[in-house]
Amino acid sequence: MGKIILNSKNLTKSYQNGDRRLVVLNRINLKLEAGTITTIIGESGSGKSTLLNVLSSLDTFDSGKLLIENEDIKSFNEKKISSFRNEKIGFIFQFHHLLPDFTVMDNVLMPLWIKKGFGQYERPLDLLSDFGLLKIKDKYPDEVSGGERQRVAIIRSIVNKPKILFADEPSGNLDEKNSAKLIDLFKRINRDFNMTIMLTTHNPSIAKIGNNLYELKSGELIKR
Amino acid sequence: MNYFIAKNFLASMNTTGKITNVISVVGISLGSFALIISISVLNGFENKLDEKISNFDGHFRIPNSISNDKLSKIKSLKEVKSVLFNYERKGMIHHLSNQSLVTFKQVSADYFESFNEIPYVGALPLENEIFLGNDIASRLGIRTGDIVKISSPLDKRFILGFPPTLEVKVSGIFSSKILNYDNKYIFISKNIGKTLFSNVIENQFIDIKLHHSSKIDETRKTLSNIIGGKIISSWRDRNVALVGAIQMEKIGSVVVLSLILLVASFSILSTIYLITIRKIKDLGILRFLGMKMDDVHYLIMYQALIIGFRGVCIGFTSGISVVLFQNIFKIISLPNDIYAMEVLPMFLSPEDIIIVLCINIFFILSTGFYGTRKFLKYDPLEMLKWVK
Repeated sequence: MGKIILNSKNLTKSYQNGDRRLVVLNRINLKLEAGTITTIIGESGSGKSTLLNVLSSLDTFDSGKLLIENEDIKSFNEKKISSFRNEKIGFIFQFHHLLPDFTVMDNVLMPLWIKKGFGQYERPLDLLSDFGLLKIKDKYPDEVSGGERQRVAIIRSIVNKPKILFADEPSGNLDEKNSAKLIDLFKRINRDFNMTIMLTTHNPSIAKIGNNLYELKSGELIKR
Repeated sequence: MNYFIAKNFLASMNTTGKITNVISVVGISLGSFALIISISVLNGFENKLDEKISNFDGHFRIPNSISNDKLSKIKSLKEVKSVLFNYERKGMIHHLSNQSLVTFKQVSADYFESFNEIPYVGALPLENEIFLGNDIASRLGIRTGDIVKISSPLDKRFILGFPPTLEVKVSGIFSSKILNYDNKYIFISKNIGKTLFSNVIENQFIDIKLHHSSKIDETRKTLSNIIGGKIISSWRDRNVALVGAIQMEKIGSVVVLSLILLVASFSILSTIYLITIRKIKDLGILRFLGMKMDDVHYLIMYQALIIGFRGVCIGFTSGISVVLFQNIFKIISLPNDIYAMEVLPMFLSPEDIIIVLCINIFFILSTGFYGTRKFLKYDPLEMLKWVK
């Protein structure tokens, strides 16, 4: 077994709904091995997005323990967790969530600017070139296709060389051709950068790309 | 980075945002402009008043009871333009059947060089002539060349006797428009003074004029060192109420005109709210990319600063330009019969510019700070899920 990069112990998350407490994640125990791809499937509303949000430090949890690179996320203050997210976590949403007032290049540079300060850096250019997006670097998000936007979002998420890349239904908004391109891209990122990837999907062909497949059902994570 | 993002957010505003932005910029410009003009005009009048009173009374007044040695030292100071002896005493002036209580000001001949800048009709007085204020002349119907009687009741030789009285010629009438000087003073020569004032002359004093009013504070220290414990007074010390009123007027104007900035800052606040609500999803994206809450705070502050900076630049440039134009080209004139100056005086010191700038910064930063508070409580996911 390789190095464990993410370790969740009895992770529980619930929402208050009037008088009722709705448990979305019930004592989730999960270990992610460095350099692997883990896919999570589950019905709509089963809590896949919540699980990813919690594991990626975007959301809080009620109880349990979450260790990423052996660091306890719950003990971090706002500044530390922001820096941690910037340096160690990459996140891709179903919708690209690019900043519309900034060019593709600026969007890709943004995590680097947040980390190191405003300036010009080589890596975004290399990545855009590697993924064949150099020609659109000066265009704005609304001037490029949906598939290109999603690929730009992926490049933005890996520009800071994060330890784990989370992707929430990354192909949910794409056609079959672009979904296939996206699968290749994830495989390439995993292979070339040895990046740990965790993604949720409805798409069976994407679900198969992982080393580990889990299903989230009634708040519990079941290995398939 | 925050500046770059803030600039882009501002540039991408919708029509409503652009309108409130323009209103904010215009408001700040107008407030800054009004403050600069008002302060410079008040300063201008104050400086003119200072200049005119100093011409009349000198910059400093010291008691005459100092040694010749000390007097020589004072005269030799490079800041000192002239040292003038004079003496004031209450008296009466009679013309035809009219009479009035006045103040005689006995001065040496060189005193009248002060009148270079004060308008008068007739001529400067010779040994047995007098020179009086326009209001006294109007009240008593006196014209230049008239013979009038002056008397000093304080110098009555016997309890039941008549006060010393002299018949003198009016050589000229001045119109200083300074305080109540035109209604109060009659200048007389030493010769007339000797005849008129028989009692012991006390409270005689020396007026000291400087080359530049700006040297007043350091010269006061030097004079104090020379004459020791004796009292040095400037016209400001003798007219505390007037000086206080001028200061109050200045503070009042600044406070009232700052209200324009206050209104403008509300406009900035609404612009910031509009932009932030519209861009809250983008702020959420920045937060999930790892931007710290402090940086989000600065980013919103920067937007307020950019709007404010544009307003300040326009307001300051136009305000300072008007002051410069007025000083160079004398565009705005004043009615001669009301004011003792022909053109509107304007003066702006670096300190005034800093004060106006500080007032602006206070309002803009307060607005930015307040504007960010509402949005700082949201976490990245809430921002991302924000429904416009």
